Amino acid sequence: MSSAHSPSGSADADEESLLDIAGLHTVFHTDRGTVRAVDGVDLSLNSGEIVGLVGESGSGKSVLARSIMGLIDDPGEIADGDVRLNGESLVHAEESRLNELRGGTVSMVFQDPMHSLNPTLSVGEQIAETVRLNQDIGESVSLPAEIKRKILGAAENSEAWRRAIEMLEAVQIPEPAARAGDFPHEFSGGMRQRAMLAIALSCEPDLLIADEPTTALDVTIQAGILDELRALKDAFDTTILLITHNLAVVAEACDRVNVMYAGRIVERAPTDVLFENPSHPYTQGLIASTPRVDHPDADLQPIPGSVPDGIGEQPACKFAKRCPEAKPECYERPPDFRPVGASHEAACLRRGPTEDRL
Amino acid sequence: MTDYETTNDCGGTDSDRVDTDGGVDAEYPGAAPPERFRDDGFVEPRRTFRERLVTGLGNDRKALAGAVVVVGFIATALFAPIIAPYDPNTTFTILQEPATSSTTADGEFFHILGTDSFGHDVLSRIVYGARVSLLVAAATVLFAFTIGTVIGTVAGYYGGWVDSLLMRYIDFQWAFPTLILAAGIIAFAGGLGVWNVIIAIGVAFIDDFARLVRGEVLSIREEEYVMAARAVGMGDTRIMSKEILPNAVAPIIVQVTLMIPLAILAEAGLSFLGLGVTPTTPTWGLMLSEGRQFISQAWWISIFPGFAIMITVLAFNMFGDGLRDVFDVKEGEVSDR
Repeated sequence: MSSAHSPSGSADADEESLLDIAGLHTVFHTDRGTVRAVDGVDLSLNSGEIVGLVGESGSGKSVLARSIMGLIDDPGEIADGDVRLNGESLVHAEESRLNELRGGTVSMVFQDPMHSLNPTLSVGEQIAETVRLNQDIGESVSLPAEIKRKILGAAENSEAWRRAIEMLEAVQIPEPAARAGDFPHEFSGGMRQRAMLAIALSCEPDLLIADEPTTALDVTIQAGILDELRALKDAFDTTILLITHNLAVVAEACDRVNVMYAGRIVERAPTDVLFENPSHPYTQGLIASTPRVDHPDADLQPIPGSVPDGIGEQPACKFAKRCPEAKPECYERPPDFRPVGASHEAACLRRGPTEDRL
Repeated sequence: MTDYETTNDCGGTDSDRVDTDGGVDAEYPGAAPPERFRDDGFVEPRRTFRERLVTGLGNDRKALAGAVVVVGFIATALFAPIIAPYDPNTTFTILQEPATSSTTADGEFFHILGTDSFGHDVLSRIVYGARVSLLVAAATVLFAFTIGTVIGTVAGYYGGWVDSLLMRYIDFQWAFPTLILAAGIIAFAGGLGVWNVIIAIGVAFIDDFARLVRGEVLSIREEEYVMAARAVGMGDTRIMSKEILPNAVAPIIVQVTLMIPLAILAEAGLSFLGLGVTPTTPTWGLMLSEGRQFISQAWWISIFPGFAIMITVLAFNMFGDGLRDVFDVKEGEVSDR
């Protein structure tokens, strides 16, 4: 695997970063108590990177993504911390300002392409709509246009529609002009995910959050989508936060990786470093539990237990209960990030420089 | 490339040839396939909504029959003066007779469906009655649909106290039987007449639409495409009108087709209670009510308007059913039956 960027873009780089997340806490108030889904996340993305966010189901990846987008609804709320995009706080922004930013500046692709497209609007119209919403092209957002197109079968000559066809072409949909009028059910799964990418990128956002973009697709199509992501990143000059539970996807696509566990980042490193030399016990467990084509006979070692649900008092290190290396102090003393290599940090008391190590 | 992919490419609509090939002009890694196995340039003909409407209804005989009767009903209402043999309020000399003819100073008149107790021609009154029925049904349902949909959408989308407030009002209305509520509104409006009937029944039907729409909105707003729409910067109003309502259209259409006959029946009921349109206006409901007291001697006075109601109601239901299949793009094709 070759990293397109040098591993210099670590979290502590002092260059101006595109996205800055500091001490973010997102909680959900439920009948059983308060769930701390994102529990103190620091993360920053520099322009032009593809940064991976990896963790198992329930680790808070998607909630983090929605927190960035300002899409946390009742009973959830961002309890503390800040998300800054180009220096502007998204947590404290008005809903109207967020609507301006969404689509044009920051956009998102969702996990399930089968359900992320509106079944009653043609694919082209959904792209055109996004263009009209976010770019001042002097076209009003019109329901009648779609009705006219649908009932009269009329070709559309508008700027937004032309842009929609361009976008479908950019994501490698064949016969884009003919296909733009199709409804989502007439597209296959891979094509729908490409259409989602076309919508998300139609206004050339600075930041694209891709939440499990390949999870619902089969393997041959996954590779195509990941290639597409990388090509589009260059074509549209977009920074990508790629969220996945699939280590192969990370290895394939990302420059840097953040490993998330129970609402916290536990390890961050350039992709190749992480795979060669995983440091945090959780990352090691994650890699050991993933089947590998190059070691077909190796035993898979699942991590015992499951992700805690985040209700009630938690041990200082949330992974301690499942950790083979846990010491009594792990339950009491919060782990801080320790350097374990160049641009490589792990939040574990049993890592880092020898003198600090537990 | 493997055999699997080759067969997949020949499969037709849902093959993922782009995804496996990586592009339209992909090079073949092995021998180039003969011409007939190449798939570039193959575009499946797409059907527009209009084509689906025509073939969909054309293949669905029940819906087609319904559509024909509905169109006939509307035409009858619009062209009543041309279609009706006589003026509905002309009083002929022969009272309460089945199919007969009457002679006046102006000549001989034929009454195919007989005359009623006032000597009016029953056929003419049925033809003119279609006007009132159509007006009341269309205006009532439009009124209830508009207000009910707005209430249901806002309540379902925003939830919280907005939902509680709006739905408590709907519950309050739900607790009253439709006719009692409509009668109350007529009394409050102070007078008979078509427009008072429309408002009364319209208000009484709001809850049916509001409840249905709210239920649909509650489930649709959790769909991922609504979240996706928010993620590209769509505001609440646009999400409600472009993302949520179009996806609730099928059940709303079914509801409309159910409410139209109910509106016709409600108008008849109000007219029977003496709270409907003014008594001389020819309406099916009024004819039915008037004929009821003579049912043992003169069945034709109430039977024929009854048939008119029944056939219209049935036609709307069959038509609406077919229309729902056509609208439901998620099902794609309408099956032949």
